[in-house]
This record gives sequence, C-alpha cells and structure tokens, in this order.
Amino acid sequence: MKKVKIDDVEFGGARRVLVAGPCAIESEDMAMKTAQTLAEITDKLNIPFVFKASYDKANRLSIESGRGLGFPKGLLVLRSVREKVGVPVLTDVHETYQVEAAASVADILQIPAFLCRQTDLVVSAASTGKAINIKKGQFLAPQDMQYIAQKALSTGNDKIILTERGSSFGYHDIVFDPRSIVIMKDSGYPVLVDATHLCQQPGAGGGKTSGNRRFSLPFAKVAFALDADGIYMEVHPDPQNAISDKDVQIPLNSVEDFLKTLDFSR
Amino acid sequence: MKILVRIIIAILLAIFLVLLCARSVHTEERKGYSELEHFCNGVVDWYLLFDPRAALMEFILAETYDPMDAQLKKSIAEVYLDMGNYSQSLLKAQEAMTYIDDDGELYRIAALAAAGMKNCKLSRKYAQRAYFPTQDEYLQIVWCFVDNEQYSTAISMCRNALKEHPHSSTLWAALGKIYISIGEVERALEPTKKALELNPQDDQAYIQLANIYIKIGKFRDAMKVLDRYVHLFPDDRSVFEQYMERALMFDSLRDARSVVSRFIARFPDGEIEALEGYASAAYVQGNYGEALNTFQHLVEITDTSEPNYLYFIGKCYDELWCPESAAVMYKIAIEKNPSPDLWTDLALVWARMDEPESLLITLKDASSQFPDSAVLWYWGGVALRGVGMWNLATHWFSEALKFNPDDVQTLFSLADTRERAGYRSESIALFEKINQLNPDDPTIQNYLGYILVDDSVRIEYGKQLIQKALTAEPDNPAYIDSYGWAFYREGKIKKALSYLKKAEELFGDDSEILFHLAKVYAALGDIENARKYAIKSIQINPQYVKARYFLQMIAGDSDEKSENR
Repeated sequence: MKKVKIDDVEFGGARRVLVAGPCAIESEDMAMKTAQTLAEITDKLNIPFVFKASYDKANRLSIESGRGLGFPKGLLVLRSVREKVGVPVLTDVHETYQVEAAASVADILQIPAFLCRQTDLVVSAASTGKAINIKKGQFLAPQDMQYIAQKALSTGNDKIILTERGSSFGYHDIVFDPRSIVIMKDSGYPVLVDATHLCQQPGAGGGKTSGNRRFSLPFAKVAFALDADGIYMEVHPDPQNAISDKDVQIPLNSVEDFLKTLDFSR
Repeated sequence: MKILVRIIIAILLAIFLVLLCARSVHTEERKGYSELEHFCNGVVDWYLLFDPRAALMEFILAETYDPMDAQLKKSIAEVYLDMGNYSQSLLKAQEAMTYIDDDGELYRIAALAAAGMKNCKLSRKYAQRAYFPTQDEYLQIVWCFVDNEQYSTAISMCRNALKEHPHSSTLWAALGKIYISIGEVERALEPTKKALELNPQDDQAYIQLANIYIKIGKFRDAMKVLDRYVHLFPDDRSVFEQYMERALMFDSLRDARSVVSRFIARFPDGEIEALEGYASAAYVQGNYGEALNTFQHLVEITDTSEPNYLYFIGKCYDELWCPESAAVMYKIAIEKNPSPDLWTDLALVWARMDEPESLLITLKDASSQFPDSAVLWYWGGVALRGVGMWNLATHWFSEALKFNPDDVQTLFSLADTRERAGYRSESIALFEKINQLNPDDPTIQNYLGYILVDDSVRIEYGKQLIQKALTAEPDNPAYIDSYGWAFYREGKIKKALSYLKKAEELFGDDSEILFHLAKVYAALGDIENARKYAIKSIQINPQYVKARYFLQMIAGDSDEKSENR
C-alpha cells in the first residue's frame, strides 16, 4: 500500500485521516472559523486533519447557484487558513489555467468527480508535484479508477489518493456501493470515503441538490469497517444558510460528537 | 552569472518597490494599494525568492483589481513562460496585446510561448516584432522549425539573423548544428569554424567541429581540434576521455600513447581505464608486442591476475606464435574464471601445436564444465578437425547442431569434415541441405558443385551450381577452377585447360588449381608441364597428398618413356 505524506498527516498510515471543511468558501471569516474549530477538535481527538474548501464551485446545476469567492480570491483565503491555522489544505481545480495558482497555496489538489476523466486536468494537476485526490465519478466503475490514477502517475507523481463519493442511481439519487472501497484499495493507493456527498440527491431540490445527512455517520462506519484510509466530509457553521449542499453538510457544532463515534486508529 | 545578475536586479527592484509601496500606502486608495501590494509580493516572490508559482498567484490576484492592466498580464505571461506552461503564457500575452501592441518584450514572450507549443508559424510571426536580449532566446524559435523538420526556414532565419549580428558565435554555431541535423555535414564545417573563431572559448563548438571532421573522414583535423580543446579545458574529463578514445581509434599507436600519457598525468585515477583502452587498441591494430607489454604492465600495477588481462596476454602470445605461453595464460585464466571462449582458445592452441592428447584432455574438461555451450562444441570440432580427428570432430559438430540444427556455419564445417574423412555421399547430402537453407550463397554453390563434378556422378547439375556461383562472382578463381575441373571430368580437356589457366592467372599460388593444371597437362600428354605444375603445387602445400601421389605416378611414367627412348 502506498502512503501519501503531507506534513504530519499520512494517508494510508497508522491513523486514518479526516479531510473536512465547508463545501465552498463563502467568506474569509467563515472559512477561518470552521478551520480553527476543526483543528481544535481533531487535535483533541488525535485525528490527522486536512482542511478542505472550494474556492470556486464551478459545477453547479443552476446558473443561479452561488459559487463562493471564486478564482483567485478564494485561494487567498485558503492561504490564510494554511498560514494562520497551520493545517494542510485541499482544494479542487476545474480549469487547467488555475492549476498552478491553486498549487501555490494548496497541499492537495483535488480532481472533481465530474471531471475525473478529463486527461488534461488530471495531468496538469499531477504535473505540479502536489498530492492529487481524485474523486471517483458518479458514473464510473470503481475498477476504472486505476486508469485515472495512471494518468496522474504518467507525470511521475505518485502522490495519489482516491475518493469514493457514490454512484448515480436513476434520476436525482446517489447510492453508496461499499464494494467500491475494496476494489479501489486494490489499486494500492489510499482510499477516502466522502461521507457527506454519498448522501446527496442531485437535482432533487428543484434546480439544486438536496440529500439527507442522517446517513453520513453509518456510511462513515461502513467505510472504516472496510478499511478506508480516511473520511472526507463537508462541514458548515450554519448548513441551512450554506450556498451549496445545505442538506448534507454536517453542522460544525455536531462534528465532535460525530467524530467521537468513529475509531480513527487501525 | 545569469543568476547573479538576476539577484542584483531583484535586490534593486525590491528596494524600489518597497519605497513605492510605502509611498502608495499613504497616497493610494485601498483598492489601488491592494493591487500594488500583490504586484510587489509577486515581484519579490519571483525575483528574490525564485518562487514563480507564488508570484503567479500574486499577479493573478493583482489582476482582479484591474483586469485591463496589460503590464500585469505580461507579467503573468512571463511567469507562465518561466514555468513552462506555454499555452497559458501565450493566452495571457495575447490578452495583453489587445491593450498594447508595440511592446517588443511582450512579443518576445508570445514568440517563445508559441515556440514552446511547437506552433512555429505563430512563433515566427511574433518574433518579427519581438525584442530578444540574447540570441539564445531567438534560437529557441529557430529550433522550433528544426524540430518540425522545416529546415530551410530554420536556415533562412539563422542567416537573416546573421545579417544583423554577423559576430554572433551562437548563431554561427546554431547554423552549423542545423546543417548537421539534416546530414549536410560538410556545409556545417564553415559556420562551426566561424563560431569558434569568434568565440575561442565555446567548448561546444570544439566538440561540434571535431564531430564534423570525424564524419567527413578528416580524423587528423578532428584530433587537432580535440587537442586544442583539452589544452583549453584540461579539467573536462569527459571530453578528454572522448579525445583519448578517438586517438586510440584513429591515430598511430605512438600518437595515441602520447594522448594516453597526458590523460594519465592529468587524471591519475583514470590510469587503469586508459591503459586498458591503449592495450586493446594495440591488440586491434595488430601490434601484439605492445599489447602484450601493456597488459603485463596492467597485471603489475593492479597487483591482480585479472582473468581478462590474462586472456589477452594469452591471445597476444598466440598471435606472436608463442603457443606454449598462450596455453599457460589461458590455463591460468580458466582457473580464475572459466568460460567457453577461454576453453575454445586453449583448444585451438593445442590444435595449432598439433598436440592431440592435450587437446582431448582440454575438450573433455571443457565439455563437462559447459555442456550447454554450442560455441564450445563448434570450436571444439574445428580444433579436432585441425588435428585430423575426423570422427571426433563429426561428433562435436553434431552436438553443436543439437542447439541449432540449421546453423549454416556448423553444417558447412561438418560437411567439410565428412568430405575430408572420405564420406562423400554424406558430405553431398549435407551440402545439399546447406544449399537449400542458403540458396543464394555462391560459396556453397561452388563447394557442392565441385564435389558433384569431382564425383563424376551428377556433373551436369554440379556445373549448373558452379555457373550460378560464377554469375555472382565471375572473377573468383576458385569458381573458375571448379568450372574448368567440370570440363576435365567431362573429358573436354582443352576447354578445361583454358579455364584453369585463367584461374592460375588470377590466383597462381593455389595448390589445388596448380594440381588440376598438372592433371590436365598429363591428360594432354604434356608430362613436362604436368610435372612442373605438380611440383609447384607441392611446394605451396607440402601436405597435399593427392599431388604427391600424382607426381610419383608421372615421374615413373616420364622415366619409363626416357628409358624407352
């Protein structure tokens, strides 16, 4: 099993990792507050932690949907989080021209699930030498993730992490097939499970995505039972007023209880 | 040097920008200050901290405050260029061009970015309006055309640039390099010489010039150039090694020795390697005495009996007709590191010394050590054939054939051995097989044809094969001899004589041709000439039994006739 190490956080190491943060950066204050709180909780519970947030939610269903601070200002916020809170940072890239700038602040570049087959994007992100988290497309068989990983590996960068985030099921729904964890782990790369996006119901909210966060915790437990290397989850101080994924993001004030029920040791 | 200049510029720029920023804090509005702040950060990141990725981020942030700032776009384009992201660099440069169109530096960035994307045509278009502070950058565009195999454009760009900068050694060297890359090596000569004349310190030009001389066969000139190079850059070991290697290949051994000595004086730790090269060169050039001395010296200075040295010492003795010493060396080398090649050489030495007993012991040991070596079985057969042990040789060739049943060389040796052993029908069958495997080989056609006509069984078919061989090589004396011999066997003695005389004219020192002539003269009743040719044949090959026997026969005939007279 390959290991990906970023500062003190080791994916595939002795302790499982938590990648968490808001879906989108709505403001600097909100991002800082969330990162600071998560850092304190994970420090207390001895959980290796990486802060995640999108500087630009470019893959929205509706033109009306908010996208966050956008490029490049959202990156500035991520840089502040990294410097002031002192945690590694993950963000997703949607355009090749943004990759280098994103790599200047992020420790891990993420390839969004919808774009996981975009060769140029995967290759340009991997070419930065940063660790790459590739989310499995909702349309993709878990066996096929090995080919996506090979695209990244073709650049000589083997710091690759794979993330399961569910599979499209008919219209307006996502299902979680736990076999995908076992299959993706066969690739030899660390595997995360996105416990909040697994609960999505895309487009079921009338032009926007809804879902049901009550499944997040059981899904996380299933993930750990199948030896996943970490949990990926979206957290918001006030989910009801979030600009995206308001039905699935975990309220910041309940994160500690959520994490306490999970065993991050191996 | 380039880095030093960059650091100095960066420090000056940083001081200037810090002052500018400080002033801006007091005078600019908040929005303007933020743009300037990001720009300043970017400059510091790039020039002072050498972190283009961080600089890019800052310039992009600065751009958000003024999306129409062409200078910022230019900076972003330059950073992308620096990072090798040519497509983004070109895009930003083109965006900047919509605001400014007379900036030579901007066009330079666009031209280089387009060249990086292998869009040579676009690159050339921008290059025409660009300002290039160095010829190296301009040459990147030229090389774009070379890489795209548009050589004439590359050459004309180079020549045009030379009109403006006739003293640019870089351009002259590049022109030479382009000619080399299209195989026009002779045309590369003058530009490269010119480059060197303009910049005698250009190390690459020396190498280029030496390579040109080697390619056009002027080895002596190449050596002179390399000699100058190693005088100028005595610490460049890699080139000195190349020089020495070439000296060993092309120079006289004495000159090569001088280069080797100079190399050892400069790089004492390379002595062994240099002497090994010298000894090998001496061996290859046939100076076995020098090779022997050098390999012996290597044994002394390394204080080891390296099997490879011993092997070559043995080979040198072998070539110097000291087979006893060769055998001793081969035996020591075999004790240290046995190999089929060593056993083979030892066996061949015994064969040359005509020592069948030692040969048999050697082959027994060798075959028990390397029973799966086809090479050993083959050369063992050759050695056994050399001492006339036909049946054993047949066995060894047959063993070799088990590894590769269609190996023509082994089949040929086996057929030849069977012929010598007196098993002509077996020999014919083997040659027919070889002929099937190699139907266009005139040597095999002639060999088989000769045996067939000599056997007087299938003369017509034999003649056809010899004719085929003659079509391929009409002036080959061996084939002409075979053809003449075919006529002799058919009883057409005068025709036979004319072919055999022609063969003699071409190669008069062949005992077999001379013997055939003796037989033909005898058939014509010209005993004097028959005797004369038989004697000549025996003089060349005293072991030629057939000729000796024939001479005895005709001598008796001649004496009888004289007495009757």
